[in-house]
Amino acid sequence: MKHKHSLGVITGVALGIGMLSMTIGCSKSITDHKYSKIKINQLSKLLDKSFLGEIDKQTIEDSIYAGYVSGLEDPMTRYLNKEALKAQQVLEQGKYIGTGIAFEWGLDGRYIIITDVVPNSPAAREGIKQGDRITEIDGIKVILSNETELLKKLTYTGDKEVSYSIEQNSGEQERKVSLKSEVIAVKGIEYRLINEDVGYISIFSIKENMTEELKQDIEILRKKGAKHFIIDIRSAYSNNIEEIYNTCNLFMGRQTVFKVKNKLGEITSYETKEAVYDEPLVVLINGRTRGALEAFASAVSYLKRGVVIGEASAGMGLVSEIIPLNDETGLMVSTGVIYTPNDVSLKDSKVIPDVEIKNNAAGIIELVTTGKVSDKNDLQLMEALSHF
Amino acid sequence: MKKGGFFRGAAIGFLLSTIVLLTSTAFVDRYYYVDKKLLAIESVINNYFVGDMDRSKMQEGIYKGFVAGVGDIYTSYYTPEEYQSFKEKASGVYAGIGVQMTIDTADNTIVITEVFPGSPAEKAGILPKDKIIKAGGKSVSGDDFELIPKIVKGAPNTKVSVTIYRPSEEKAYDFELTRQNVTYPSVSHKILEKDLAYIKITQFEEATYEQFKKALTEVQNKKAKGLVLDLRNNPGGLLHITEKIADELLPKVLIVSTRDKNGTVDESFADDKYSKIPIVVIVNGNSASASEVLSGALKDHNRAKLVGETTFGKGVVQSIVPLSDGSALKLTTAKYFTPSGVCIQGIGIDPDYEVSLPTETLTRGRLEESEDTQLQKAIEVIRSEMK
Repeated sequence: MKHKHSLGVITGVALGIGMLSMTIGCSKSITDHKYSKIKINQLSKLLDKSFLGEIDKQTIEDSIYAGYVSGLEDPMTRYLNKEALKAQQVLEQGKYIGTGIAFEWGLDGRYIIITDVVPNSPAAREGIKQGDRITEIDGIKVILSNETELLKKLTYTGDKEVSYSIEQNSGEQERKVSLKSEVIAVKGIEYRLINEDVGYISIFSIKENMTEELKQDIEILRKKGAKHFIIDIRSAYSNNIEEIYNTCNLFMGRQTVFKVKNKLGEITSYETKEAVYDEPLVVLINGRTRGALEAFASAVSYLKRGVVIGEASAGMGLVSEIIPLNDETGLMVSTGVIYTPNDVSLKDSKVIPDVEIKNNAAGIIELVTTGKVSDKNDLQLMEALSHF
Repeated sequence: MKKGGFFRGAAIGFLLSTIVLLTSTAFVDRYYYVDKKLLAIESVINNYFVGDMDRSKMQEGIYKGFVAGVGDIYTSYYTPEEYQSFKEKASGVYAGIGVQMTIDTADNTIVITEVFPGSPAEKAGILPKDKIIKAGGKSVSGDDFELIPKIVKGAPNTKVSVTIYRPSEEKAYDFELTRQNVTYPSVSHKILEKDLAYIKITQFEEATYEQFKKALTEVQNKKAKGLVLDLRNNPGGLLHITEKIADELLPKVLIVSTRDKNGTVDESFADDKYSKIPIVVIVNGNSASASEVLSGALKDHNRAKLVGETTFGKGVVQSIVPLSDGSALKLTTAKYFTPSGVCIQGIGIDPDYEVSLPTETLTRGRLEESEDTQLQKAIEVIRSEMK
């Protein structure tokens, strides 16, 4: 039997290394406690000997640093290699490097559905639309086992063209489209009027000065007749606490909206000035609402400025910063913990909505088959509308 | 089962690894830079990071990162604790109370779907469809689903309290259960309609072959003339167990072959003893790895028709190498080829009869037999073959 013997080899290998590591271990001077080089040597040899596939030293090195930092088990803190640092710095400016498509896995895992296309992006210029289905990328078939390779292609930021096979409708003739990533503006805020007097504002991310943009959008909605507002921050992220403070200041006046505790234990209290708007407010959150935006939701709920509806937030209420190293790489580091006005850490606890409601499978199925969820299948939005 | 084996055993393994270690390793020339950079990172963390640093976790992170750096999702490092729990899973034996649970999305509760025979839960009288509302003194809902195994699992002969709500009686019951080693069945079987049997394999663990053989013998004793083999959502498992199961169903033919880094080919053949019962296999996009070995072998030898959806497409084999400190390395060591000579990595196996479940049934956890269109098609195909 093959397997008995292979077990023999395995035990043999482990034994051989075990004995050797003892001798080497004793003779090695203790200079560094971070990790055991003997163990890295063991792993390295095993991979060299038996791993089926190519190994790239630079990728391994980057992965060591990433692994080291992930040992902090902090949701925001991570190592940024050259490409990631560049991408993150661009993102901080409200832009990103990409082709302009947002996507979800399709219902049966055999296609990727496009859920959004950024206007004027490479994808938009090629006529790709929400609801289109990707069936193949650079010759890699869309199938669950190719997930990693496909994600790599979809988030590729380099300057080679990537070829996509796109189906306009299920089962229709495919067409091939080549897309090259470029720096494009991140979608920040979208707005529309629902039921004639509800201003619905969807925030995807909050970057510097975006409160001004939000203000302009609210003014437009007011002119159109909005008397209530829904701020949708589901699946949204921000690490810009100062900008979130500005956003809080639009709706909440003369209050402590949140606090931030830094590494030294110093607490900064954020007190708002006069509020700008006093219309009734609903804030929509879910498990992917994270970062400084959790401070906004918790303030609205705690100060009873409005009703928070949806699912508990991520519990990642941290302030983070990019710290570059001297070799064009860097770290995203959590530098502060956000607290509610009554001193609850939003890192250790999530923002619990005033009204908890989950979206049901019908909405999810609609999303992964058509690329969008209609209002009637968005139970959280429906709940929000019932509050006015 | 005959093998074209090639491994030469422990002595050579020992010798090889020793020699290999004495020569310089591939990575050693980079240590200077790596150490310097780790120091730089550490200083950033010391100066800016707001949380606590657990050095042993960060050290494990280095090993994890090193192995993850090869860029293969199936190749990874297990910490000693992770490897321990992995071994437990692969054996199919756990110390616990012996139930399987799922989340009831209708009311976000934890509902018991199966109570395993001979388990502490069965002895106490816990029934399928009971809902766990309290465990270890803590009230629980669907949100605590990940937490429940941590509460109910534990050393044999220790006690855990569980409160269940039985919807049929509208009553709650308290139980004090003594944890025992429970073999979690990975094979279930039933008679669908008089002479037609159904066997479902949920994954391929050490105990799976015995369980499968028992199920097969039982349904044949009940005079079943056809078999529906359900491999849907079966993520795979142990290759040698799968080969033994294939051997029960195939005549003296090639089951699967593997090829490693050095081009060494290992072929696994069935012996001439096998069950001739007509088979139809049901597969879907989550039938992976060992499931694909079995369905591929049955399909290629025209021993069974496949009904359902294209399979997952995992055509590589991993080995686990335990290290001396209790940790382990899992690494991709070979590709496998179905008897027709195809490696299905990233491709999957297409069914003979493509049938998807109706979209509206996907929102529900459990399907009635009549709603399961894939099962219905399988029955239709097997009936036509039994004639």
